[in-house]
Amino acid sequence: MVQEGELPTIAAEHDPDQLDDLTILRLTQEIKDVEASKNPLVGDFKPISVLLNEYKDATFRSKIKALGGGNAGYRPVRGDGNCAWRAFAFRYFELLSTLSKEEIEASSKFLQSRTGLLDAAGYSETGYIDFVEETSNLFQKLPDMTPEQLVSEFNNTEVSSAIIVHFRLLAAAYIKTHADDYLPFIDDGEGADISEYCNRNIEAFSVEADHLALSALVNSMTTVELGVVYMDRSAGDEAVIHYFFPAEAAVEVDPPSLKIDLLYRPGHYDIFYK
Amino acid sequence: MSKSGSASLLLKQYKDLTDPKLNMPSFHIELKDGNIYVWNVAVMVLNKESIYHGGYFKAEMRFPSDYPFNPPTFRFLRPFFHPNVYPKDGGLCISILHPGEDATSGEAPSERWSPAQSVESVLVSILSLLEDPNPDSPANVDASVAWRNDRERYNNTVRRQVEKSKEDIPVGFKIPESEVYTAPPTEDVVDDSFWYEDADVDDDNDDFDACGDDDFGGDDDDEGVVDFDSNDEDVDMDDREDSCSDKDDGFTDAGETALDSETEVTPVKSGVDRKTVDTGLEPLTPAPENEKVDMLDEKRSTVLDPHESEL
Repeated sequence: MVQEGELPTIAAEHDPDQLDDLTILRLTQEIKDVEASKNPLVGDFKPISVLLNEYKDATFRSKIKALGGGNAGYRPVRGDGNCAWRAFAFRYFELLSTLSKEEIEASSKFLQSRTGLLDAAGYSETGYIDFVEETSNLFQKLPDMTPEQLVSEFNNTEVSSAIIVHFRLLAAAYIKTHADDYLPFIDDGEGADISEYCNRNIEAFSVEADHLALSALVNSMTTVELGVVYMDRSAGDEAVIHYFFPAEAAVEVDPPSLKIDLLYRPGHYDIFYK
Repeated sequence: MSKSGSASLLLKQYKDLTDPKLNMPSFHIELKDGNIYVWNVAVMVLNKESIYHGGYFKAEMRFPSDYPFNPPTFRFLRPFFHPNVYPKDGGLCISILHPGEDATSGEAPSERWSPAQSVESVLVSILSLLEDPNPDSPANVDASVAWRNDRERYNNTVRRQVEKSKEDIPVGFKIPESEVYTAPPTEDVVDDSFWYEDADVDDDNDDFDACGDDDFGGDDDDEGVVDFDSNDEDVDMDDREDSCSDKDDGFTDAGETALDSETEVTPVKSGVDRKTVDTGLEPLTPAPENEKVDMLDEKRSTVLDPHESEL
């Protein structure tokens, strides 16, 4: 593992004029890795007062205060390019874990049925089956898990990474099967390729989720409403909250619907608790 | 991180790829010393029209311990004259072995690594790249220039490589006759005389030398084609060169205007349909299934150890 103090050495090895795109990407990744190694993949719940202490800026402070006191809080997630996905996936299972065994089973069955979306988008079963299975495994263990065990399960890179890939593929599959809805947002005027966009931005591991990715994720899951609290320096005393509602509601079965909130600070997502 | 997941996934893919019913005739795959993280892969182009036809190109694929979240590397074990193969170590530069991100500029649209890719989809892309180089990011500038401006020299060099590579064909191994993969039609047809050329005819040999490609040696002598030290176990996945461009050559200035748009690498769909692979043809190297399993069992400890001495 690269230590913080070694960073200047890494940079010094490279003549800035000779840096090509892929080397820049690699160096960026190394810096991210150093940052990432300081934090667990999914951290412990923290009351909102902890967040308040991080900021001196008046705008941030008033927005954080407006988020409410009481039980409000957040759970930090490692900033490794997968944060929005991991935050979403963890909170999804955390909310489910509070429900009855039957409801968990119904949710599991329903998510399994969404695998059809992957087939429709042209993914081969051999390509996705391992990731989908990891999600199923967690569903099976979920009714007997303590909250601490769930956190520890998500700090197992293999488990949570596989689940993230499953969710990424679902989102990408939704975009591919609803290309007309998404193409206008991807097209930069020179013609856009949906597959290429998904390949580079959604399927690719460690690439941060953009607005489109979150929209597609919510649409692909159909049972989750997502609220994103935008904690930035935009004007106003209260943070803007953007909601993503699934375009089509689940019909085949009736799994419980969930409400997930994420806290967005420029470049990073954590889980938000109201 | 636990290595069991990556090992079992690789084992599954290895078994699939070497299953006589499902295998890809263009690839002869074995584990190196029973290590599931290092594969010996021989590439064969079965299309009889191809200049690579008849060759048996040994290569090595290395998988990181967090596969499939990070891509494998692929390098040829003999010098391989190709725009996208590094003369230095035979490393192959292909977009599907690079992770996503949109930060690269001006690169041709091409498929990137994602965890949903498989060894099979990578191999199919590599096969496609052999005859359809991506000159936008040359790893070997000399090969790239030759490919664009002096196809005859390029083809002759490849032809010599093909001949040389035949030495690597294992005793008793027969290169399959049938092909499953069909190469995309290329406009550059090898001129007829090429096929009837005697082994000693090499008019452009001097020309080849003049380009100063020291790594390959210009002549047809055996010394000209040296093995990389293929036994080197110290290849560090993290130290691999990610850049596809040889920045020292000033190629970009000279090359950009001459690039043909038709030469872009055709993206290969991930998840090749099994049905197209299963032709019901005779297996190539029907090593008994039991034998393979035994080999793995014996090496159980190394199977779970990605890079032997590295760890």
